[in-house]
Amino acid sequence: MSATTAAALGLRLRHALAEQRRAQLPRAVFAWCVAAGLAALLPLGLLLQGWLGPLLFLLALLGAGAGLRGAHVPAWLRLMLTVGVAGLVLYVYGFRFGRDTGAGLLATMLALKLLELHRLRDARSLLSFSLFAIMAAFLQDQGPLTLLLSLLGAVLVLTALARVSELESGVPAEAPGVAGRLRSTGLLMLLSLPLAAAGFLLFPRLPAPLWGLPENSDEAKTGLSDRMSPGDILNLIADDSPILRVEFLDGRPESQNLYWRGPVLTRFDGRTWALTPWLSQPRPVPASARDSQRFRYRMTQEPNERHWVLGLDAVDLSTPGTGQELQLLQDDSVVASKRLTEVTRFELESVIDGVIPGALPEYVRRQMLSLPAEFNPRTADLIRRWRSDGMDSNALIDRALDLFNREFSYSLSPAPLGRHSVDEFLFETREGFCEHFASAFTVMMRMAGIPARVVTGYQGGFYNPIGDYVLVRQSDAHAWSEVWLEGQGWVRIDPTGAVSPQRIESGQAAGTDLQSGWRAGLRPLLDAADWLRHGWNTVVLGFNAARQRSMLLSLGIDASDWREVGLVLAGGLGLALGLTLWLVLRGTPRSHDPLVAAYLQCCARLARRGLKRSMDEPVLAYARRAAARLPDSGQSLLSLSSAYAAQRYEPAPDAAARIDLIRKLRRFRSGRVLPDAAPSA
Amino acid sequence: MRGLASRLWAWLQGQAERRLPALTRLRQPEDLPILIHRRRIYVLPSGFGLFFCGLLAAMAIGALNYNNNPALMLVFLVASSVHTALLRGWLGLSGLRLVEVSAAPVHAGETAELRLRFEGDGRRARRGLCIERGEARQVFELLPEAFASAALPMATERRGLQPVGRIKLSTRWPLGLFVVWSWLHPRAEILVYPRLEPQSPPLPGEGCAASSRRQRSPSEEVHSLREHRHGDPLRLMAWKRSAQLGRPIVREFESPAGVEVRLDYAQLAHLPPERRIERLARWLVEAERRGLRSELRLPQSRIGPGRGEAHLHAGLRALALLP
Repeated sequence: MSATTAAALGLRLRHALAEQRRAQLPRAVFAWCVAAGLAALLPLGLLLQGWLGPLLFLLALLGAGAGLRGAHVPAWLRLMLTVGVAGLVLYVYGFRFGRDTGAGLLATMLALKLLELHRLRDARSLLSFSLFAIMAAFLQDQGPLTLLLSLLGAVLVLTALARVSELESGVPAEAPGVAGRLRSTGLLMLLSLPLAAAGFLLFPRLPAPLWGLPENSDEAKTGLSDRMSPGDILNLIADDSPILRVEFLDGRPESQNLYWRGPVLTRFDGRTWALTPWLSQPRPVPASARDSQRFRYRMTQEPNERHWVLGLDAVDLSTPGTGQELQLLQDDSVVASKRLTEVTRFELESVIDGVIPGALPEYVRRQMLSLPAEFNPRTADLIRRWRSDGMDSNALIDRALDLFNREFSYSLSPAPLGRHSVDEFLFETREGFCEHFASAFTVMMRMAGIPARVVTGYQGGFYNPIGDYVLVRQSDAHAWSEVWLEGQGWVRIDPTGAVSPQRIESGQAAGTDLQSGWRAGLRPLLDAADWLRHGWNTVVLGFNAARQRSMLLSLGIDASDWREVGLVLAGGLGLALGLTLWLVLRGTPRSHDPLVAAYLQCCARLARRGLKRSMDEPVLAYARRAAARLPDSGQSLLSLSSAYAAQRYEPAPDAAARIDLIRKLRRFRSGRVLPDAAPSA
Repeated sequence: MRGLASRLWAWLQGQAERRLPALTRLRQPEDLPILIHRRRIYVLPSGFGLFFCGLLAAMAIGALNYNNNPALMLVFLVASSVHTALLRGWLGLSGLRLVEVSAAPVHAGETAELRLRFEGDGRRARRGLCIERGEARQVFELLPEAFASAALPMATERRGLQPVGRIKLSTRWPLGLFVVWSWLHPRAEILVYPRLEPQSPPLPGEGCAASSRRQRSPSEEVHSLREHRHGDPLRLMAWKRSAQLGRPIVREFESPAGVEVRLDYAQLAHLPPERRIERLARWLVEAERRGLRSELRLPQSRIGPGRGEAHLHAGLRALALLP
């Protein structure tokens, strides 16, 4: 029964499609519009969640296929599809309106616009829409793949625009092929590059946005989060995407000192470490640390949709010229004032092994010692025993690290832990990785009355010799502890280093993938590719009002004076326009025949020297007229011209001589030109 | 409302033409060749162009607000490409020359084909050029080192010399975002022959020579032989010669008296002037069709006697130009 219903419905649908065969766009125009629309949909579709992108792409392909066969999709079906798919998008994003939901809806509209592509007007609105979709893709992602696909989409959109406008202005007599059309669009864009570059560099930027960037409804971007449960960091270790690129301005710390601090977790519920909300408040920047190694560096951080700035160890925000718009929180983590939704650049100064003066306020101390009751009794016993041995804090720390060093092993696939996780880890499984060690060590310290906290972040990084910077990847995610010692302040202790020193020296994934196999051979290539990406990030993505100001300042222009900026903008645009105009006008006529092209180029060169060939002048007459004014090259021009005439007008020219002639014509230069004699009366 | 708006627009245009002839270049005819130079090229965005610029502006504001550099680059790249396209469209018109305006004469009431010949300066291909005159428009292109001629239909109403009037030359090439245009008002006229009287009495003096059995006077002698042309009467066929040569040959006579049909304006005094002209035109064409030598006598001039295309043209032209 249902099969027959479905069949009847299908028949009706086909009927409806067949009834309305009245597409008006020529097939070629239609195909160009479809190609442009799909190309614009691609970068956006790849960024949508899961199967949404493929679904929209499939829908667009179906619509385009129906359109190519001349079928009209009836309005009621289009309406149903629009409502249905839009509802689906909203459902996927959980009915929250964010940037990603908007992008999904935009992609839906673009895909469904392909179903109604009948008139010139439809084609043009589709193409405008496509351009907007490309822009929306940039709001979501600015990576190299998106850039490449978007550039491709833009080329196709402009080409389709040109093709569509031929409906109005007439198809040229020798209609160019696909390659020819793409080439002419490419040429158009290349010719426009100077103007685009001038506009990009000189157009005044907004120092502060007029309105905020809508946030994504879905924050589940992998990376560090405000809590750490067992196994969380393990998920990150498999991810090779870059997090940070750091250029040290003077001297690079040794790799075992590269700790990039992220969220500081101070609240423990027996299983999960989490942020303490009231410690995540800004606090005044303390005075500089003493007795320390200082490092100044420029850090380019990939977007993480969060506030944390992953500075090296203790970031000193009191250093002038660094860390604008950053804040220090009560728990000593550093945050930006807005979410990092794009590649951001910071210049920072950090202190390694510094002593930060000051005391720990009592309410903070209490939080740093708090533990859930009735958890891990055996660990508590052990600590009580150590304390009763008369150990002070330093001895206790050494003792714990010694314990880890002697009896524990580093493993990325440890056995699962039960309710008393620290007990089971310390006395039974005795294997784990950074988060187990950091968690257990911090709990032990708190039991011993030493204020302690877990810090998550990244450790190490690969030094890229080509670009002279350190690249930190997601796989460098790490967790360690910090303890408060009187007179020394917060001191970093990495218990993982006690177990597996080589993990700290050469990275988490040491010996697993990056160093071995085929990737080792590709190392220089990968370095170079990452260096290019880093360059793009710093030069292009990080260009903002501040960078523009300093660029103008280096040209001696005060960016705060709008008249000067306007003048520079006008001047730059004028120069670029001049360059474009020169390039456009310079274009010599092209011919499909290389011989004719070479001859015309030769004529153009002579015309630039003041010997213009008039349109009705025969080749030989022109050669004679020109030769009279060319003392150096007149003879050769005459012989070349007669050879050219022979090649052009003889019935069976010699192929070898033809190639030779082309070469000679290309090489021909006029030499001296005599002034024009008085016109013969 | 709509009528009012269009009347207002027409009035504004009229005012502009009267007050700013140098700016609008609409009224004064110019001598050929007309060079389209930069001071007579006008540019405005098309409707879609306006929309597209608005879209780019919105994208630019968004990109600036979020300081999203790739988006900003996209906007600037597309905007510059649009500008370069504008430049190209402009250059497609700049330097173009209208060198010739011609039309084969037609009778009043028929549609003439107005041919305009354009010449470029030989460097660039100029595509998507469009000429418009009234309702009629035609698209053409001009390749480097070449001429192009475009044809426009031109309806004719009255005999005489008819001015070509104002022609709009425009292009939307290459992206259709801008209309670049220029007005051409060449000092050129096309000749329109008088209308042919639809029902006219037989040729004068045809009562005696109504049949093809025409008496040939002995003074007539065969002057020469020539190839048969369409419309030559059968009686002129030189049958023997044709058989020998294998193609149709006709005899041509030279008659000292020379006139087989005399068409006199003064003899048609009973008709209104315009009817007279129409009838004479009809007779002239009829005589030519039948291969008769004719003579046309007009108040001021005398055409012929003669026969053939040149004679016909001279006769019709004289008729057309009668006051």
